[in-house]
Amino acid sequence: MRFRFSSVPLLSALALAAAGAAVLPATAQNGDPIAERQQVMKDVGRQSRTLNQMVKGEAPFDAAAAVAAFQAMNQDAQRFGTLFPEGSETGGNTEASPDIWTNRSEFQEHLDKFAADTAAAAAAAPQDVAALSEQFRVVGGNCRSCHEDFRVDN
Amino acid sequence: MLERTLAVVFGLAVVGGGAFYVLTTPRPLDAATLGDGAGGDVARGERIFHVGGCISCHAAERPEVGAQPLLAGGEPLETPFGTFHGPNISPHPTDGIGAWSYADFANAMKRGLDPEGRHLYPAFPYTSYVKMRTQDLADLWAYMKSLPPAEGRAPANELAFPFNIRRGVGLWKLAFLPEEGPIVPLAPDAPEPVKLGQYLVEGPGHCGQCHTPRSFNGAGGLIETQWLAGAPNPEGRGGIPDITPGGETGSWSESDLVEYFASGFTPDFDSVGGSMADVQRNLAELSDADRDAIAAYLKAVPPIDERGEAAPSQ
Repeated sequence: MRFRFSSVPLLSALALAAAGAAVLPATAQNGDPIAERQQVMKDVGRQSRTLNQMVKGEAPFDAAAAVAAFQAMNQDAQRFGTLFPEGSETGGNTEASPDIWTNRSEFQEHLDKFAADTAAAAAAAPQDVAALSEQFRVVGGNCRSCHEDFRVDN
Repeated sequence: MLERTLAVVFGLAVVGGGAFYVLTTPRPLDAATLGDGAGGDVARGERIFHVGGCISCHAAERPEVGAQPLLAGGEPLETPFGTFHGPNISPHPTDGIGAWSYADFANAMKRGLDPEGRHLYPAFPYTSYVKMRTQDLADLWAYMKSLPPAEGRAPANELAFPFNIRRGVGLWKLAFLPEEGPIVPLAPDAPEPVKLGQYLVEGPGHCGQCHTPRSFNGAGGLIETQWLAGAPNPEGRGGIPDITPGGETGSWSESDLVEYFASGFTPDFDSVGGSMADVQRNLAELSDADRDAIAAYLKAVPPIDERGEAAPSQ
């Protein structure tokens, strides 16, 4: 029992890695990276709402749904890396900062940290609201820290 | 003829220089009404410190939880006029403001003057702090003096001509330093949270410094008829949103605004970004009552339409 319990995070992490690997090549070929990344951003927002409602007590705590939300965000995090190609700097009401293309390594560090934090949160599989709240705080901090440097309000 | 012309030019230069000198003479607060800063309370001052967002320009980084901020000077503020460096305002006796009197502090906050009577650049938002209450100023002073002294001086500002002529700021102040009173006319029986929010937003919170457009292509004062109606980003790219009920946040409820102040999440779970990200860190330090008050006030200010004109009342 003890063994099985502790293997859940490991299995989750492996599943995430597999899912991420499956998603990456598919997205790079799609036509409109600006529209696509805006959709992915919206999905991150949807997952955040789900988690926040549980943290706030506006929705009942659901451990499986929380893990699923972190997993979905993890996939989104990995997709972002392919959605800011050369040539997608302007247009489509993009709020992407030009710094993304001049400071790619720092931008990628943000994405990597977002992916790592969401993977860790999913692997931790929080079992109560307090644990979820802490994971959501860590994951949610990624939104702000990247938007602080790499998004421009129009 | 030439001599006469030269004499006239010289005379005009002397008169002009004299006028410039007179007009740019510092005008400190009336010492009689200033008080002595006694009775300032450290805990109350900490609240004002967060409302004012002092840390955003005067510290390189935020302290660990529970630690006190080191106000040795902050990140450079890059503007079309040049680069400003928020100075050391820790109580260090030589690098900071440890040798200042309370009168020195009050004149910096409300008149934009340093202890030598030199004009401070309005990147330091004394044009909002001028509306601060005497007791809040005394409380803030008590808190500032309680902080640890920090060594080090910020670099000098790097400004383009003519903005590098500090004395010229005196002329700017004559034109643009506002009076102490409120900006938005509220009804005398407006709810207390709205009144409190007005004070916090218009005074110490200095929200209008970025959210209100300025005259003279950004070099002038805040255009009060377009109060909080959005403006170009003073740090360059993009814009600062209209936060009146006619603007981007017009569809947000008061509780949406409060949630954004506390967590940085918008109603559709976008997150705070840009220079507002650091402002929100300050807002997160406030009490629920203060956040509620700011939201209540933002719902009470006149809506401004897309053309920057007051929208017709509904």
